[in-house]
Amino acid sequence: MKPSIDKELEQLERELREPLKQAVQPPPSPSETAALIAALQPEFDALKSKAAITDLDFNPQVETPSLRKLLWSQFRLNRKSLFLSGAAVFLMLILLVDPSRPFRTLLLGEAIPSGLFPVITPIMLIASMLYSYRSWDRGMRAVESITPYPPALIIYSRMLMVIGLIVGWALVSSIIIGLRVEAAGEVSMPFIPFLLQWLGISMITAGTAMYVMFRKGITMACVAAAAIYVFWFLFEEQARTSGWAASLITMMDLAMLVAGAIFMLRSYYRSRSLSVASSLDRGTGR
Amino acid sequence: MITLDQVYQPLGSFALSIGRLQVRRGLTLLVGANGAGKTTLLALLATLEMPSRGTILYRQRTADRDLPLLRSQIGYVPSEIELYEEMTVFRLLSYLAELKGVYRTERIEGLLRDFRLEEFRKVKIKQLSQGIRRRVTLVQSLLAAPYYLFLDEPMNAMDSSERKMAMAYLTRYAAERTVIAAVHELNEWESSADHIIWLDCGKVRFDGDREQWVTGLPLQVWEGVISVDQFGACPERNLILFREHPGGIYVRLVGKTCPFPGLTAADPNMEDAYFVRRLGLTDNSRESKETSANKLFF
Repeated sequence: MKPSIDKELEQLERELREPLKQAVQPPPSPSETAALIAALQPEFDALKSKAAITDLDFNPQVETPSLRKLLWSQFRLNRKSLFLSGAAVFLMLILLVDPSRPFRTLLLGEAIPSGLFPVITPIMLIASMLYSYRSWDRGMRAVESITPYPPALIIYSRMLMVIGLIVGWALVSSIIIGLRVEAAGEVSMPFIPFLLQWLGISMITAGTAMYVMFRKGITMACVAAAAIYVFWFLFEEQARTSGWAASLITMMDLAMLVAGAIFMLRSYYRSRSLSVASSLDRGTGR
Repeated sequence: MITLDQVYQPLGSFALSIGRLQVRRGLTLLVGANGAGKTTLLALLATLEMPSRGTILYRQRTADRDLPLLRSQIGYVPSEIELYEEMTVFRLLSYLAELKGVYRTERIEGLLRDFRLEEFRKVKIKQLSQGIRRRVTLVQSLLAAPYYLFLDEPMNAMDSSERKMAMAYLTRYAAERTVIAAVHELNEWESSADHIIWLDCGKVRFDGDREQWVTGLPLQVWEGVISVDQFGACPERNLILFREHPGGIYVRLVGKTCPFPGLTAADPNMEDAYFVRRLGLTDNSRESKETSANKLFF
């Protein structure tokens, strides 16, 4: 049995040798391999690009952040209480200022030589900033924090809106006082020095508070603002007792206004770079 | 995917401590007793807090490098929130949308429709019921259609129809995104969940899919002293033993997870098997009697 099977197998092998020779393909040449790779390259590229898409990108639904948009959004935030309290305080100030002697107040007389505006406006400003720099509800604060804006920029824009509101009220009040003084006709109102007087101390106080807040937190910001405010009182007293020229005092007020504006600008750049939440927490006292 | 690696965050008397945890796409339920660390974990994930130690990777992004980008992709619902009461629903949502960098009102309109809030769009928040306020809170988290959604007890105060509606929406939403919801009651969530993470005293006791949760987590006996109010909330079927105690009521309860803070797992070698057997909840019979973990409470 066995020899016959061997013969059959040999015969089968002989018969199949030729057809199998045709069936066996030679190994691919280097040029064929290169062609194959070239043909598959687009598929590889597509796979690679698909992998790249799965990386997390900036949310396409979200528009690029900008301070202008943020300011507008904060403006729309209903701060009725702040608006009304500002209106009430400045209405009171208007009524307290004697139109015949604008630097003298009806209740306090000459007790505050510089008048009420430079005394009240910075206090109002700092109090409003303290009240408004964040939402007082923890949940709301969390929801407002989760935005693509640099976190401190929101606080910055909120404070800027508050400053704008208070300074706006003070400006309107100043104009009304100016008109009342003109109508009284007894003295000529030194409008620009009057404006610079309260605007200078208000801006330097607010600017310092912002500048310090983004570096040392809200507590230190309050301390710094209070220190500036007290220092300004001493300076005013010194200027009055030493009989400084009015033009010099006006220049000093202007310098304070410019310094305050510079502090605010510096705070803006600082707020943009404060992007880590832990820094923000420290910066805002949360 | 979110990967937490060696994350550690102190939490009063204990700490949230997670060795390695991966949260995948889909709906993940975060369960555990009050004070287990769910809210803290969500706050960490939502980038509201930074861990004292460890890293959290959102794919390849981290909060310390890519915070604005990450926050553009995060929606968050806190467990408690006082929405600005003087604003109308639409105005509040517009304000929050602008804060998130979303300026098209179509998105707000669509969500108002989806959550049946159209009739309340001009109503002030202070005039709304708690359930509707909760819907508004949920809507705000969806304004930017974020990839990551972190919800801390999102359906608190909602009635059953509101819950169904919110659940259906979130289930659809989670199909292409990562949604993590901290919940107290599994009942209505479990069938929709893709993954479940159980936190206990700041540690991950279970991390797996729904099937693993139903079959894989052993029942345990928990013992300790609870208040009378807590006792009133105990499902009778889970209660093995109770007696008066100077500090409240001493109880032994059976459950997969610790039902109340302060309870500890009883010695499994001694009492666990006995009590579980006594209730007829042996490993073999458990699946037939406890077809779903949703019958076990937290």
